[in-house]
Parts: sequence; structure tokens; C-alpha cells
Amino acid sequence: MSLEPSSRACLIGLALFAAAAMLAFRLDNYELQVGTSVAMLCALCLAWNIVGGYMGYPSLATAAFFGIGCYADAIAQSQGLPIGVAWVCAAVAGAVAALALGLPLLRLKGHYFAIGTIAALEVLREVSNNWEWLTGGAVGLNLPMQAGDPDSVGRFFYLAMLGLALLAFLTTYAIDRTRFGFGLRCIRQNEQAAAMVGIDVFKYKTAAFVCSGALCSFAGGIYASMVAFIEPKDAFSLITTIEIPVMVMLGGLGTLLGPLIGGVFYVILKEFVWANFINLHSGILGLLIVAVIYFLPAGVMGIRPKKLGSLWRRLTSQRLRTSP
Amino acid sequence: MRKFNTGLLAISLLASMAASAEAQETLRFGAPVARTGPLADAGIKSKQGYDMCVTAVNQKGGVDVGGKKMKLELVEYDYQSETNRAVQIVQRLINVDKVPFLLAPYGSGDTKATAGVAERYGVPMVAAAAATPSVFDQKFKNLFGILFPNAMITDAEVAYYKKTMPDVKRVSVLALNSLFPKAIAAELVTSAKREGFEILSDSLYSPDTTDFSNILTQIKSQKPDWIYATGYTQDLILIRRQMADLGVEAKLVTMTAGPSYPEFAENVKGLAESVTTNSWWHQNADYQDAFIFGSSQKYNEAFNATFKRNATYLEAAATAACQTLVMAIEEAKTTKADAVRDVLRTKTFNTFYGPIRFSDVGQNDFNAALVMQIQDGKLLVLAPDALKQADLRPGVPPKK
Repeated sequence: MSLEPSSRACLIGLALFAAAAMLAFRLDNYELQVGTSVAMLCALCLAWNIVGGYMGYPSLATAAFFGIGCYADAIAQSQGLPIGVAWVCAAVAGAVAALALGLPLLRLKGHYFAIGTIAALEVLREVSNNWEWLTGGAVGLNLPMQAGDPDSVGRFFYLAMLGLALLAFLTTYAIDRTRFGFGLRCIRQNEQAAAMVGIDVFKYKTAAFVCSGALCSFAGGIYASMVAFIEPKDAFSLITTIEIPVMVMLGGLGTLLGPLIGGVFYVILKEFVWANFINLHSGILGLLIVAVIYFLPAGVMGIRPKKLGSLWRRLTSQRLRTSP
Repeated sequence: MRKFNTGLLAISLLASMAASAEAQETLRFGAPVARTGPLADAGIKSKQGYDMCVTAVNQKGGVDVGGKKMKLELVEYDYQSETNRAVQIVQRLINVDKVPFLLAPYGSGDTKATAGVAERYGVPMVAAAAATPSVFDQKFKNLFGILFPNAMITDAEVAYYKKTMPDVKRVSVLALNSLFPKAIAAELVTSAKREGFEILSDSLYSPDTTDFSNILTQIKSQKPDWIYATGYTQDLILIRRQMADLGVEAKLVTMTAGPSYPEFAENVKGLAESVTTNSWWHQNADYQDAFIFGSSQKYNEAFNATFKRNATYLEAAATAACQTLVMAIEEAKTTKADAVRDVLRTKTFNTFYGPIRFSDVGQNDFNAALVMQIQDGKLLVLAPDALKQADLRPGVPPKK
């Protein structure tokens, strides 16, 4: 019995998640914190991949929805709602914001769309900086500290973030397998042609954007509860919004496992560069990213062992020939 | 081969014995430092301040914990000015490096976020660079701040100018929309209103603004006696230049905290003349320090010998943060967090930085605010009287 590639990828993904969940009871608190960050980045990558990968729209609004989630969670908890309900509020707020922003923004394409989404992020940061009675302005908002000892709190947020990444993964799998995902891929290839074969292009695009926005906001909600303090520069971070697409590109655009691999790969790469080149790390990291994308345009998922083997053979045989 | 191995074993045994004979137990303070990213300038200054403390304490023989001398070591990691990373690093410092005490990161927001982690583990954390009371509003038991609250600075300024320049009545305020500048501008408005000043405008500018001509033209049209601007040093340099271009003048121009760093005068040159500022500390405030440095002046000399420039309040506060922790540990005669926390809560620490006494929310509330002015290129203390070096020169730019 042979499995379809997407089912195989799904099984691999599920196995990885199961392994990660089991680690929750073995890791120390620092490792759990790193794991939580990695799970958060993977969730954001998977969310971005729906719009940026499957649909081919270069969105830079990840941090915009993430920030909305942070604030929605903080405000909901300040109203006395329990943490789980506050997270759902965050996801709903993200979905609503994505719908409201998507209606005008999704009429733009390519670079125009990218610039539109980054403008949305900048505007939202300014709004949160100035709407003091709601967001606390530049002073930020306090969230209630999660009760419990550090070990159980660390494990709780790790599992919550991992659960969200799993949800994003399963959503991606569902999209990948259904007519919806097929429609999104058609849109990526040729929007006019997609419309001609009967795909309601605008509805599909909006649905994908809302889905992605809700997932990003959910991640923001969990993050804000974990840090217990939120301020505009952290919630609406320009770095996050740019790093996420880079991670997915490293892993493989529009694939099921690409965002997971890219997220983990990027974190390891960044840690390595940061640990070894403290003063030049941004520059070296940038060059490495350019190199990876240049030599592996389809990301890590695009590596074919056979091709690598033949490339290696070609290189070595050349060396043999040129050696005296 | 076996002989070789035995030899190696013997050597390594000898080496380890020698090491243990000499070994001194180490006491480690953990610090997330912003070495890169937007806060790098200030982050590196804090690091220099910590280094001053560590070197001086070790030169003295280390930290005396109930008769046992322990070598002081700083375990620091770059948090790249990112909050998430700062939180991660504090987790690492506590769980992997097992540091018993922490020094807070530079940014106020980052201090708040990491203080939450420290509180959860019950690890005392001393913040060197957070002056805004909102950082301490969660009433954490483990967070202590060296800088006294903003309001003490603005109260001292308003009182001094009211006394020395009674004709100054109308104030225009301009602040960067970020936690600290916004908070200190708000305090200034409160202090000034209470003392009967008229606030003509109280405006904010966004981070990364480079063109201030609009807002400065507006301020010019209000004809204020006193212009109060606050933001990052780079912003204040731009503001002072653009004020000159647009011919904006006033009897009094105060900038927080740019002019207290040498970079300000180096960049705007003559335009720095007569600009007033304030500070949490200055070497001329000659506080006595029986513990390590001797006095503020001597601290500055030591700093100058290492880094070839004068220390500002930022480095001094960082050194003081580390020094206060050491003093508390020596007083408690143990490195147990509970005992050290109790000492921090109750004692007044006399340091080169001035007396440090933590209030019930954990912020130093010993008022030693300085009002200062740049005169002939030098930063001089105007108030308090006990430390006065010069009289106020009115008019920016100075009248010839």
C-alpha cells in the first residue's frame, strides 16, 4: 500500500508533534521556553503559508494579526475572562480584522499587496501607541500572571503553543486536500484563469486571509498570556513580520512540512550565527539566507537526494579531472 | 601507550588538585544585555557599568559571604533588543546557568516582561535603567529599581526654574511616543501645572521621526518661554538643529536626557550652549562610598581610566545596581534569595551613586535630582544648591 505524498507528509508531521508533546515532560524550563518560541514560529509560518505559499500572496501582515491577538487577549483577560476564552477572543478578533483588512487589501496584487499589508502593520502599531484607554498606549498593558510553579506554567504554555501549531498544521492539511486548497493553488498560478474555471476568486482569497489571520492572532494571545505584559513595539514587531516569510521560504513554499522545517531550521541557523558571530550576526544571517534561497529556491523541501548525489558526483569528477 | 596514559592521568590529577587548592567559589549575576538592535547604545553602556562593579569587587577580593570570599562573575547574553528573547534569556540564566541574582535588561518594557519571570522563580532582580513608576506597578516582590521616579526629576526642575526665572510662565512640551519619554513629559506637565505654569501644547512625535519642522513651526507660533523636549539622544540632536534652522528661540530649552550624554554636545557643537537638562546622577554630586569606589568623583576617575570618557548616570546606575546587590548579600551573609530580598527591602545603601533606599514597590525613592546646563561646552550642575557649579544662563541661543 503506498500513501499519497500529502498523507505521508501529514503522518511525518503528526509523528513530530507527538514526539514534541512527549518532550514536554523531559525538557527543563529553558528548553521549554525555546520550544515554546519554536512552536509559536511554526504556527505563524503555517498560518502565513496559507496566504503566502498556497495562494501566492506575499503578505507582511503576520505581526499585525499577532499584535491584534496580543491586545485582544490582554483586554479580554482584564475584563475577567478566563485564559482559554480570552484566547478564543483573540482568534475571533484576528479573523474579524483579517476580514476587514482583506476586503480592501486583497484587491491588490504582488508588491502592492505586500506594501499594503506592511502599512496595515504600521498603522496598527500607531493605533495601539495612541489609543491609550484601550491599549495603555506606549506604557503597555499588564496581564494576570498565570498561577502555579514555574515548571507547570512552562509546560502549560509549551503544550498550548504546540497545540496551536498542530491546529495550524491540520488546517493546512485540510486545505491541501480539499477543493479550497486546489482553488488557492489555481489563484497562485493564474487568477484570471482560476476565475474562468469557476472559482470564486475573491471569496477564496478572503477565506484564506481570515483563516491565516485567526491563527496568527491565536498565537499572539498565547504569547501575551505567557509574557504577562504587552507593549506596541513587541506586539507589532516589524522583524517578526519579515522573518516568518523567510522561514517558510527556507523550508519550502506551499508545502505541508515546509513551514515546520523552515521554522526549526531558521531558529537553529539564527542561534548558531548569533553564538558564533556576536557583532556581525545580522549581516552573516542575512547573507546565509540569501545564499540558501539562491541555491535552494524551493527550500529545504526542494532538496532531492538523487539530484544532490549527481551534483556531488559531477563536482568530484571535475575535481579529479582538474587535479594534476 | 599505557605509560603515556598513566602519565597523562597523573598530570591531570595534579592539575585538578592545584585548581581546587586555588579555586574560589564564584557568585554569578545574570544579565540580559542589549548588545545589538535599537537599544544597543544604551545596552552597551549598562554593560560597561556592570563591568566596573565586577572588576572593583574582585579587586577587593570578591564578595564576602559570611566570612567566605566569593569571586563575582557576570553571566550575560545579548537579547538583541527583543522582548521575547529577553524572556528566553532570563529563563536560561535561571534554569541553565542557575544564577541566584539578576540584573534587568535596559528597556522599560523588557524589564517588565523579564521581571515577571524573575518573580515566578523568586529570583531578586535589580533594574538599572527603569525610572517610570509603571514598570513597578505590578508590585513584584523581586524587582528593585535604582533610578528614582520621573516625578522627582520634573519637580526639581520646575521648582528651580520657578525660583530663578519668575518671568518664565508659558511651556511647550514635545515628547517621543514611547514609554519613558511620554511618562516623563506627562510628569513635567503635572509638576508645571501645579506650580502655576501655562501649558501651551503637549505634543507627541512617533519613533523614527526625522522631520520636526511641522511641530517646531507650531511651537514657534505659540511663543513659549520654555520648550521642553524629550526623546532618544538622536531625536534631540535633530530637534536642536532644526530649531536653529527654523529660528525657534526661547528663554529656556530643556532636553531629557540627551544633553547629559557627551554625544549630544559633540554632535550639535555650539547649538548645545545654554540647553538645560537633568540627571539622576553626576560625578560632581560627590557622594561618599565606603564600600568600593570611595566617592562619585573617584568612581568617575576609575571609569575614565578604563573607558577614556566620563561616566553618565546610565553606567553609574548599572554599577550601582550590581554594587547594591553585592552589599545586600554581604549584609545578609548568605546568597539565599529570601534573606537578600529582606535586606534590599529594608536597608539604605550608601554608594557613590548616592543613597539607595527601595520603596514598598521596589523603586529607589531617595531624591537626588540634578538640574544641569551646558555652559561653554561643559555640563554643569545648577541645582541642588549643595552641588551647584554655576548660575543659570537664560536664553537659547544665548544673547550676545
